[in-house]
Amino acid sequence: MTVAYLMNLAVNGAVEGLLVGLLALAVTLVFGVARFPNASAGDVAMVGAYSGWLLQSAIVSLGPLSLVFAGVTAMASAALVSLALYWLVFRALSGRVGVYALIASIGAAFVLRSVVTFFLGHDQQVFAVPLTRALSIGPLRVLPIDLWVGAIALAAMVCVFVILRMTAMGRRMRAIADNPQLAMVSGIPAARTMSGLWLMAGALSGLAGCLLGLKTVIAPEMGWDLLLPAFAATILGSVGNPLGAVIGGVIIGIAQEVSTPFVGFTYKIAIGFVVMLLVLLVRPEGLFVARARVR
Amino acid sequence: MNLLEARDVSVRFGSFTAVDKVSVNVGPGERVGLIGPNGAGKSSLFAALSGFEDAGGGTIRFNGRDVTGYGPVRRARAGLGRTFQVPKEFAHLSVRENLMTAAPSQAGESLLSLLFAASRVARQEKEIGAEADSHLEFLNIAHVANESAVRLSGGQKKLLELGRVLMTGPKLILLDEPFAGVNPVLIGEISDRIRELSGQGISVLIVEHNLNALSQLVDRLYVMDRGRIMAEGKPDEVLASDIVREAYMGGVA
Repeated sequence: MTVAYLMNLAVNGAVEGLLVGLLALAVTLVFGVARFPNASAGDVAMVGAYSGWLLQSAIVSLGPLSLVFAGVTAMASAALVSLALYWLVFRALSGRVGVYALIASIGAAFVLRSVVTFFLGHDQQVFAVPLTRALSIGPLRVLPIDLWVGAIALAAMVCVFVILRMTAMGRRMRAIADNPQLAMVSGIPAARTMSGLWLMAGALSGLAGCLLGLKTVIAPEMGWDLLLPAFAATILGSVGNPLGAVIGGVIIGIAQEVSTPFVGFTYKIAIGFVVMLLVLLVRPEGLFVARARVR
Repeated sequence: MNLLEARDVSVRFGSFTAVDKVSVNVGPGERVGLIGPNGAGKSSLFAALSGFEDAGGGTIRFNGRDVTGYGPVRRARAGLGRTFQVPKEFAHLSVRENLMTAAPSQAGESLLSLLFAASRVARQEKEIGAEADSHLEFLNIAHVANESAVRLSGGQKKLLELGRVLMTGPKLILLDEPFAGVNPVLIGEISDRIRELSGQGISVLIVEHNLNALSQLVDRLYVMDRGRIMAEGKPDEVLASDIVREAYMGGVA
């Protein structure tokens, strides 16, 4: 095992970590504003991946352009599913302790997965991706698709931060996260802002699912498998802190990949949680404090 | 015609009646005080007026409309604003953002207009920012506009609350102890601002324990005790009456 091999694993882990971070961002936004850990985020991502794949299968003759449409479709469909879950399930539970919504979100996750497997079966699917040669950068060998995946994930994150920090919608999300009662007396209609929040979280999840599908395969369990490290990343980066979630995701992604030669593929999800636990032992509040929060 | 007409408003917590069939009126541009010992029901009445508690069979008319069934959000949007005894702020937003977020119907609230009407969103954002700045100037807290709201002093937070309410375009502001924990100089300043606002036609209903500062500020005073209105009238007359002395000092005076 060489240093170059480990470095390659680290790069691969960083790209996967960005995807974990993308889903963690969706989870942490919802947690910051709606105050519960949304366990349906992973399966919303899976729905995004499948709808992107369905579209691409239909227009595969367009070549690489079909992947762009697949990505947009994944984001749009996941955003709509996410919005529907808010209006049908989570809105009614918004006044209650978070555990109601958490359990409901686990249920929603299973329903989404069942619907997908009922119609599309349990088989793994792949996007039609043009074959490319890996780029050599010093000792590193990087696939162009990984660069694309990483760059798109980063761009989406930048968009989220711009929305949160620089628009009326983001301001209101942060206001509701900060003090829901004060938001009410300020005449802020929660339903509108919450709809925006769920659309945004859904689009992020859908993109994460689609990019993960591009990088690996599309399968019914992919969302759940991505959700667990995303939860760990959310906690690692201090719950409710968007930038923390992204950085937490990258740390966990790298830790998972670099550990595979030592512990094997099967145990890599556990490694994410080990990292999380180790950090929490030293810093119980997570890596970052409340300062940069959504709220 | 009165701007606010609350009739027979009651607030009950279990078997305890905090507010017992209370009626209060506030006219346009009027400054009205509401005093009474601790536990008299003033805060519960405020909660009912701002939509956090049910009116308990009473009715609340505001600006010619029956708002009894409105929740807090709709009352705020109808022009009925409030502040809190312990000042509340959006702690992690800047002072300026605290004001901006309270501006009604902003185009930039929706993802669709952010994507497809960016120039309109940008123009409106600029207008809202300018409005926030003018209120911050008016309230003398423009120098902390970009600070996190959590870092303001208690008195500055009172002013920030007033600024946030002003952004909603209020016709009546319910002020819950605006002078509590505020230094004498700032009390004078807050009083001046309130006078200017009522000069612009904005009414205020003020709960306050600082009777000296309050009686100089308001046109009319209600006295509440044990959930009921005990007296009403001009500040000096009301404060001189036996009923008030008894309520406040348990009859010792």
